[in-house]
Amino acid sequence: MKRKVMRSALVLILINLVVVLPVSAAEPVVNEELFKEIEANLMCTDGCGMYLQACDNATAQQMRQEIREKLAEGMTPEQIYAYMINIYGEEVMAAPPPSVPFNISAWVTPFLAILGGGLMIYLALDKWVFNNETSESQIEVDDVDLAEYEDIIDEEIKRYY
Amino acid sequence: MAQIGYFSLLLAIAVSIYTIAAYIIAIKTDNCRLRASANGGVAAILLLTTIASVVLFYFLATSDFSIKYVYDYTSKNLPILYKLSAFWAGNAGSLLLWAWLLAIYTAVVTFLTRGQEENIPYVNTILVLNNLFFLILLVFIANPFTKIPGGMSPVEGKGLNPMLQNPGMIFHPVTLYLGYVGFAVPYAYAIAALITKKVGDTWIKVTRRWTVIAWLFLSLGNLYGAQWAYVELGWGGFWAWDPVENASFMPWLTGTAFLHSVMIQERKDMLKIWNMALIIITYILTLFGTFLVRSGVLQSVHSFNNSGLGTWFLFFMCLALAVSLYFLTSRINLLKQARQFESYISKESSFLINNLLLVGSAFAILWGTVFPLISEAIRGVRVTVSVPYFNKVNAPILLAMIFVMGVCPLIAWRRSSLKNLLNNFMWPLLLAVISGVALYFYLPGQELYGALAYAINIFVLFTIFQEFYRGMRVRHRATGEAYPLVLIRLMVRNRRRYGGYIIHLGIILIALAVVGTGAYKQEVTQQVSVGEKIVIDDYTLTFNGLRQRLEGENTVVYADISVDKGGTNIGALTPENVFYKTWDQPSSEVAIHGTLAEDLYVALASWKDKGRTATFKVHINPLMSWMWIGGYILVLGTIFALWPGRGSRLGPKYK
Repeated sequence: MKRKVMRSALVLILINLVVVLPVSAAEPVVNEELFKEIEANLMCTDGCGMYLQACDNATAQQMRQEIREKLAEGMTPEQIYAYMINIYGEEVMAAPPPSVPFNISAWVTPFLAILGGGLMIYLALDKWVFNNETSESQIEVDDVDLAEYEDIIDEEIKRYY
Repeated sequence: MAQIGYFSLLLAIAVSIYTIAAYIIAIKTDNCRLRASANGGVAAILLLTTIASVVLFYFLATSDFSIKYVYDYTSKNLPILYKLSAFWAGNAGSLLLWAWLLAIYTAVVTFLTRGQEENIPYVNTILVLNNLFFLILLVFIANPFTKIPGGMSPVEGKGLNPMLQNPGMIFHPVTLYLGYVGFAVPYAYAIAALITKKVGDTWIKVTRRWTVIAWLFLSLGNLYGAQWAYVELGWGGFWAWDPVENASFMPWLTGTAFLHSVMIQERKDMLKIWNMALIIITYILTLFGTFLVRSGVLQSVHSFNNSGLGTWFLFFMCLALAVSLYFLTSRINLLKQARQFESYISKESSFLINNLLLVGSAFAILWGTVFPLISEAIRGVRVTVSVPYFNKVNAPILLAMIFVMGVCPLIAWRRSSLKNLLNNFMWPLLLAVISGVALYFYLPGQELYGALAYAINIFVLFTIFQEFYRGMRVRHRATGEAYPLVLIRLMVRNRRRYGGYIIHLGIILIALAVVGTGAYKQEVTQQVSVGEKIVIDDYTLTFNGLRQRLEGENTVVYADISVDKGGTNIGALTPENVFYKTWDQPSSEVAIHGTLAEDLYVALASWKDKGRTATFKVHINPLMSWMWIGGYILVLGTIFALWPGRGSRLGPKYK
């Protein structure tokens, strides 16, 4: 029992040392909305591959501390991003910065592809749409009515024939 | 015992080679006995992979640390369920799971499919070839039965990553793999149709159930993964657009597109080339997921260690794609369509838009996922593409897709007049606009995008209700039955249609939760001392102190928090950090007070001063419960739609 208590106490001491150290420095008071906006645009840089908002390891906590300090110094978000990129490279940004011309292709290509696909569909429909003279294709069939009446007819056929 | 497992896999390779050869010769010589023998080979592969799997389960359950895989992923004190689910915790085990599931699917195709016996040799050749690839990897590169060098047997294992010690570990990988592997069956049927030049819609009718089942499991796999991330990671989110998450979402999108566009082929014999291309793309994307997890080309929390398997998977993907494209292009004349579209405004054309948006979204996700590699290749600079990109790019595409989901059922097959269209649209649109405007002013922050997203989802919700109402009204008028009976008979007699509507309802509920948490989430990170309060919205959280307890060999540090809502006490929350004997990093266990309106989500971030001061992350996630409710409804809708019998028949085919 004594050994268990001592082991627990030791663990608690170690926990405090491990967990407390990264946050032992007093956190500067900053605009929280701005802080969250900046945090939401950055990645944790220790190779875990996690979005900064989602990461809670020591590196992530250190990065948050750094952001707060830079905000307290009066840096703008753009300056903070530039600072981070300077240290960690473009990889630190959670999305390709559109300030780099090549990165614009990341943002526009999907929409261009969809527009291109839309154009192809339009051209295909233009080719496929059948200018049908027969009256059959002029009739608009209501699927809901049709399905229900077909069912009722089927039931009656079974019942009476 | 390890030798039994290993030799089972080795023998499975030999039997696979025999089975493939037997099927090919049986096809060429029309030899029934050889074909039956090959069918027996399929059963033997199932038996052998089952033996290998049972052996691995045995080692895991008995904590035999002489087996390296058991040593790497388990420990003695691990609960038995996690010991067993460590089967798929690592690279080799997950490959064995894939091979085993594929063997099961192949056996079901062989012995339980009726009326398609002439296709079985072709389909099975493709499926067994697939499985042969995985078996070769297992035997020669990633052997789950490798022993610890030197014949040692450590007394304790490394343990399972704490993040994997969650019920999600039991359900998420298995359902995901059932989905991934399940898509191999319609793919095999499609290629078999191309090989045999029987490219009518027979192969689609035969594989419809397989496709829907694979789609259902992929949906469940994604939902279980989201739920796991939500409760485990402590950041209040459920989807981080991680490359491997994307790799499970992309085949879901293209699989959904396939499920819809095959209806056009069933009804009108059109879009045959497109449907073939879609199922090929879907299958290749399922392989892409396994490639990403094992290659190390992209950073991901889901990655196994770079195992050198990436090259093998890349090779296999390219081979599968090349072979598929060969058959598709060489049979393209057989796939030319017989009919035309009668109108720009028709259900058929709305299905095309639906496909455009689903495949477009899959492309956007693929583009974002591989862009870091493209950037590095072209500029020599690696970039990251994560949450902000995927949210901004996909939000408008998926919202448009949801809108089309509402529009499509309102449009008739072949042709719709503008007058009828307006009649069908009017009420849902009006109610949606009113709701959107009301929500814009009522909800905090006056988020225009959020209100618009809500309005679109509400529009679709009303169209679904309208469809049920219209059907009930018609039946009630014709039969005079009471409305409850009318509803039951309406649904039972047309299971495909109304099962589909129920599935759409499930999707909308999930979408509402996504909009709620995306646009209207509230969060605060605050450091408090004992007795101090955190106020967020109308919740007041009082920190009463940090406590500690032992759970087996793990130490759990938890916060005691009283929660008041609107001045009334609603209970206590105890977010935790768990410290494991066999793991350096603790895991965070969040505390959630969930209602239908919102989740109050609390994570213990850190503490100091011997626990007298602690930092908490508190989130309010509106409508979060509806994501899981929507998931259950989606499952019910799928089962209902699949249920065999009269009501599951197709609609009319147009001559």
